[in-house]
Amino acid sequence: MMSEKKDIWDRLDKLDRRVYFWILIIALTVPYINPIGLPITVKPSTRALYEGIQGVNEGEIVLVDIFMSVSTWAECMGGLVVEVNTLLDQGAKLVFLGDSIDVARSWDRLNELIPRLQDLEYGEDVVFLGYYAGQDAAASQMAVDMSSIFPADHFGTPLGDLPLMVEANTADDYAMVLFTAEGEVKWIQQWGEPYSIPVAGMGIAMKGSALAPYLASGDIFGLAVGVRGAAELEALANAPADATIRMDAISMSHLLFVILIILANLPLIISKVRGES
Amino acid sequence: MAYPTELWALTGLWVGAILTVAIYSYMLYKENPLYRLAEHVYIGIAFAIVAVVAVQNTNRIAVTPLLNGEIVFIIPLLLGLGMYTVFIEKYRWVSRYSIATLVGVMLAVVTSGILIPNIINQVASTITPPMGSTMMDWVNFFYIGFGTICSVSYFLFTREHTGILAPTARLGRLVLMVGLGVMFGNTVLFRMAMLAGRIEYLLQVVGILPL
Repeated sequence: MMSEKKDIWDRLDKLDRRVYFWILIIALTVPYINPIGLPITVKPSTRALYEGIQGVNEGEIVLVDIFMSVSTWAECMGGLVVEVNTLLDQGAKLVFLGDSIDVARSWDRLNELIPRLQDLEYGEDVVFLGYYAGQDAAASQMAVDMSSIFPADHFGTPLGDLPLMVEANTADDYAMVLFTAEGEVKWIQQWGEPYSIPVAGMGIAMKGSALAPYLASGDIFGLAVGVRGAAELEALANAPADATIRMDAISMSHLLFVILIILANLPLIISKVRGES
Repeated sequence: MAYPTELWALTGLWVGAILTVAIYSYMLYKENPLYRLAEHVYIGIAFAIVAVVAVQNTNRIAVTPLLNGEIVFIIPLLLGLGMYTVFIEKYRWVSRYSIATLVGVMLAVVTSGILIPNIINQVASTITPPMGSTMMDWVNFFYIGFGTICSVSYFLFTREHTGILAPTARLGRLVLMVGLGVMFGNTVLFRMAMLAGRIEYLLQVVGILPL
């Protein structure tokens, strides 16, 4: 009996790692085909973000920084869709920009996911400024003169020809800055602190613990983190979509990880209990 | 979005799927020709996009205004061009002016903005008690306050970690390990989200899920 047990642990220990990868892929795939519908609880930080966005008044201008490459869509696009839809419901005017080189592709995707963006009067209600470089230096200069960083929008129209940008050329003209994925620090440092512009947004999961101190200190008023945050926003907006379905898959993968960590450590613990070297 | 029927859209969809499988083949079959091909294609395309966007950006922000008579834009253009002298040994010294300007400007801008949100507000939020909050808020308050002091004591290298510093430094190391564990957990979550996104894409391409 003892030798049989040892064989099982020994075989588990020496199992080809590809088996684990295939199990992981299956665990991630199944919930897409058969959604489980695991409940999603909303964290206070996500609720604060959503309620803050709901507090935007009609006609107020919001700057949306899409610091999100195509590879990060799986994490943040769902949340961005909820944010933009909520802002449109509030009647806000939106200025989009981004310091990811493929920001134009993210803009296209956002338009596919929110068709009513195309129904808006471009230049009056919405503007896409496109890519910018320069991080803090650029954000700092945008706060005093947006047109010096963007002489023209993404499509080449001079900013002076866009009524919205004539109205929104300095930080004081904006009601809020929303960041996506990363790049939040420059907005906190260059817009939030000096001009008292409310800053919030959603970060990739990796940034969750780095952003938490800014939330605690009140430098950002709300925060949604990763797919979980996006799913929470979808739950708050009562519009379950991609992120909600994706959370099932991710929960399954995490469950698998917990099981694998326990299984991987059991042989070691058992050998120690048995007094083996 | 409906499943595309045009040839170019279908080709793009399937090329994306094949490249995704090729990249993830590294996980299962280590370095292999399919992975290497996808890797090279990815790097090539990424570099091309960066180059095009950089040229477009320079053209939009500096060249066009300069051609329209705003002579001041000659300064950033010259500083930018100066960066490339780093490749010519004889004129490498020119690049130092560009780099010095870039570093100086960034340092000034970042330093002026960093003080309040990153230092003063963080210290204030760490030492401010959570008035009228739940028991858990108080637990967090003491954990963060005590953990911060212990973690800082771990990085005191001017005094040997003996006496009062011995337990605090040891506790500080544990707190740091907890923090790193959280960051690692978040990183795993991020990677899983990316993998889940690609699996979703593959299921969309083969028609199991709607696009």
